Amino acid sequence: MGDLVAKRRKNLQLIHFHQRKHSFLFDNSLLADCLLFFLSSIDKRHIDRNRSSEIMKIIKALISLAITGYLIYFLQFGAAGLPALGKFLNPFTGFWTNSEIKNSSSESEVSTKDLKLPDLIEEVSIKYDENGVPHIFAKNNHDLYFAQGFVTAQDRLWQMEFQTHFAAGRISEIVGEKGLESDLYQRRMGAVYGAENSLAGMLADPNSKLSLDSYAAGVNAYISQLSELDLPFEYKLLGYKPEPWTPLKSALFLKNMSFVLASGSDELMMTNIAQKYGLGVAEELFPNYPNDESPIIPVGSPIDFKPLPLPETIPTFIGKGSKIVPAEQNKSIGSNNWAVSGSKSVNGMPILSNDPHLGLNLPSIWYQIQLHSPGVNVYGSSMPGTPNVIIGFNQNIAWGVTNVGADIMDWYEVKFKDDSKNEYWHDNQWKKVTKRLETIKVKGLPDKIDTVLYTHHGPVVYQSNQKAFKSNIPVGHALKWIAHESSQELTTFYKLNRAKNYAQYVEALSYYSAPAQNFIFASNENDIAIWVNGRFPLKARQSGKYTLDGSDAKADWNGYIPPAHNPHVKNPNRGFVSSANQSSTDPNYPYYINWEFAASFRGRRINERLEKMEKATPDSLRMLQNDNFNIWARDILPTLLEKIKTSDTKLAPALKELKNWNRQNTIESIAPTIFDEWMKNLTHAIWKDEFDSDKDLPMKYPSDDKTIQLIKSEPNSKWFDDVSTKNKKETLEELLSKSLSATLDSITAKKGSMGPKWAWADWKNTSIKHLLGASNPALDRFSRLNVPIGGGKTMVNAANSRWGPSWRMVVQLDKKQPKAYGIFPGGQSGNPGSSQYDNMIDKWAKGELNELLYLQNREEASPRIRKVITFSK
Amino acid sequence: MGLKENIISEKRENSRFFLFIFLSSLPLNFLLPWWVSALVAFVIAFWQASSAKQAFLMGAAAIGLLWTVVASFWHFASHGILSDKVAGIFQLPNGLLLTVVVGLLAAIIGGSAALTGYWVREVFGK
Repeated sequence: MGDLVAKRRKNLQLIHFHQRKHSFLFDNSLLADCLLFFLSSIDKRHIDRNRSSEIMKIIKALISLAITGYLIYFLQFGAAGLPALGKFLNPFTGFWTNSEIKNSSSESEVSTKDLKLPDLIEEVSIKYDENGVPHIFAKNNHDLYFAQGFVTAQDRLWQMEFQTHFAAGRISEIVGEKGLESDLYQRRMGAVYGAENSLAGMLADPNSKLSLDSYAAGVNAYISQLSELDLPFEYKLLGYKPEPWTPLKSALFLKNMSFVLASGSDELMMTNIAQKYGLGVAEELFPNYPNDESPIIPVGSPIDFKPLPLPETIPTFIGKGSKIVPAEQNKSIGSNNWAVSGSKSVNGMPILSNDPHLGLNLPSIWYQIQLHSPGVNVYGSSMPGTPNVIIGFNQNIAWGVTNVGADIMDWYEVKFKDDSKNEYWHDNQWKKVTKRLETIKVKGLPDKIDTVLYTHHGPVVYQSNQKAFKSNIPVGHALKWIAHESSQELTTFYKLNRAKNYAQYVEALSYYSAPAQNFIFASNENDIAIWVNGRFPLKARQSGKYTLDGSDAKADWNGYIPPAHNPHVKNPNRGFVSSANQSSTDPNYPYYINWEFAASFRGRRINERLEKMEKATPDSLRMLQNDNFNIWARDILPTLLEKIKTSDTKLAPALKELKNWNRQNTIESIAPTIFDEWMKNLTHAIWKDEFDSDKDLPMKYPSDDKTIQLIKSEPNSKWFDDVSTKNKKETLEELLSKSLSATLDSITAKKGSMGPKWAWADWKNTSIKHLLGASNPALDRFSRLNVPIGGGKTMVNAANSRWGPSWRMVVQLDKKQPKAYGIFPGGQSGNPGSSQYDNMIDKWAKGELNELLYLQNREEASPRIRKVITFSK
Repeated sequence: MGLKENIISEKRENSRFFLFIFLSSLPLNFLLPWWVSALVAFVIAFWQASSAKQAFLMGAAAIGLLWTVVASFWHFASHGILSDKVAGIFQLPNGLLLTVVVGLLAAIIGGSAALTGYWVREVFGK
């Protein structure tokens, strides 16, 4: 008997031990404490009775109660990094209920639904077409943007919130510590600071304010009627709930576009280059205008304004450089747009085309919508999170955008008084540093508080400088960025949505600040135009190519280029306008926009084809969107094939393949795979030894344009020598055969011997990935991997591995009814359980477009309407 | 009572117990959070179970089957549009297998809750 009691005691201790251990895992240890209390009370009651069978029963009951209790707790709340599986997997409220039930009813049947929404002023009718595009018919602007917020949230709520959490540096709240790096970066770059400033500017315009407020109210109306069953999939997966939407979130979203499109900068790397090789070499290898260019504003376009004088050139300043550098602008980000005038089209009216190249993600970055209310009837792509249409058309005009890549981001070397960093030297005096506290909530951990220093320029993003310089004066780099300033981008889109002609388009553009865009335009008054548009600081030429002296008042930004002086051209003689992120103008333009732009490959190809285009139809423009011609190969490959001298028989089949190649990057061809990999290896072979050999001194490579020029006209340049090999001088010829040999080895290692497996599309692997699945193979089935599409980063059909045409649109203007076509690589719904999550991808990959349904008014019937929802008070 | 009758009566008792849990948790699961499955198994076992074995096995079978049936409805009605994707997260080939896994999970919940109900009754009930 005594043994039994001892055994039981031991058991109880074990239970106690387990409970204690578990209590560490509990967020709230109350449950554990209660159980302990319960155990100890029974313990006292029964310990003296000595009735072993009773005791055994109690032990059994307690053990199973504890196990069941913990099981349920774990399944409800998750533990040790595992998700709340009970909540997620149960078939009553878990992920299952997000699956769309396949409908057996006939396709022609239109479903109708009524919804009572007390915040509305009047009735709103929303018609969904077969692609899930909502066509909103409202009777006033408040209701219009309210409905836009509601329907966008209905399809994209999680994406809207996740992207704005990302922009605000709040990802750690959802994913825990692994989001901290990204959050710190966003905060230190001043994302929230910029969004707050930007919002103040947007709210100052009553129309922007109305659209932002109504949009937020619409999103919140959707959130408040959301049941557990309908909670978007990703909330269930990650185990959290949506919070109310605010206009600040819309501002954060727009700000994030500046992060995506205009946050890359290389002045710290350029300064490192000047440090190491001197300013002369830096200027020679990184010239201020490319060798081969076809600028956006055609050479010789008239200048219809009186230029302001440029600020005086500041004295040469070579900064200390930096070990930590911001990311260089992603070279694959870019876009195409063009418009042909009526003189080049079949029906005598302009046709416009646009395809912005952005990250290929699911849910799609764009959301198609038609917005109709008194004074506006616009169709196009909107961005979930912001009211209005961003790229689209109305009865009279069409417009589109590509990125400018202007120099609107400068880094100032800051000299602090001492290590307390409370004061900095500027304009011959010590000035106060402002400190902004950024509190980052981290799931499962205490808050992280980061103090960001601000000078009058902006935030000091990189505080501690490299130790190698052993300087006594603490320095850091303050960031001056257009995206930190008050701005009115929404006013531009609000007005563009309603613009009727060229004058109204120009007026709308004057409010726009960042990220600067090439706004292409066409109207049914037979005007075409393009404006390189944004708020550009009035700077001396090349000011900001290198880091600037933060103590020199003359290096500060001093005013802006007047909006009317931004580069532009209307109805040029050549009969078309276009842009593909190349240089805005030739060097004759009287202001400085930037010293470098995206490579001119796409721009030159587009202009070549448009020169020749006659009797254009929307289909001619669609075909140009899908052009796979590799102009880089045309520029350089004949020279390479002529110069390569090798007796290595291993290289012969590849050389033959390249020689016979028609320069088209099609899906099946293998020559583009060889060419692309060869160019990568050759570029490294030429530049790595000089520009990427010292980890403590990050630098960038000269441009492809410069490399081509060197190969063609300076084949004996000293840069071809590999400086890491002593006592040997490499020649271009050697580099060519060595890099081609390495290329074939590396492709063979991955794909086997040369053959169909080397197909281009398969090699570049264009993948459209779920926002959470970029580096998480567990979510691969939520993504579309290895989509068969040709093209690539230097081609008009810019389908890169993770970037590409994110919205293709072609609009044929007309006096009566414009005809428009469009598609994006995804679907209207953000729900992975919907058939409209990724239903447009295959058509997109084939290069086809959907005809867009543009309804004239609420009454117009269309067989394409599948669902009508009426919102009423 | 002979052995045969015994087995028959045990079977009858088992099915009654099973149906009790299955039928009462079905509607409740559409009204209350998922853990109501465990609560139902616990309460009914507390009230009705005649042995630990019966409680565990029938509790597991009832809740496990209930979840599998409802999950399979979603899987088939949607042609696996989401279940096939989610199956990937758990390294499973398809959503149908996921309905089985979900059933097993539910069986553990139902079984252990019913067993607990039985044993707790053994302490307090007699």
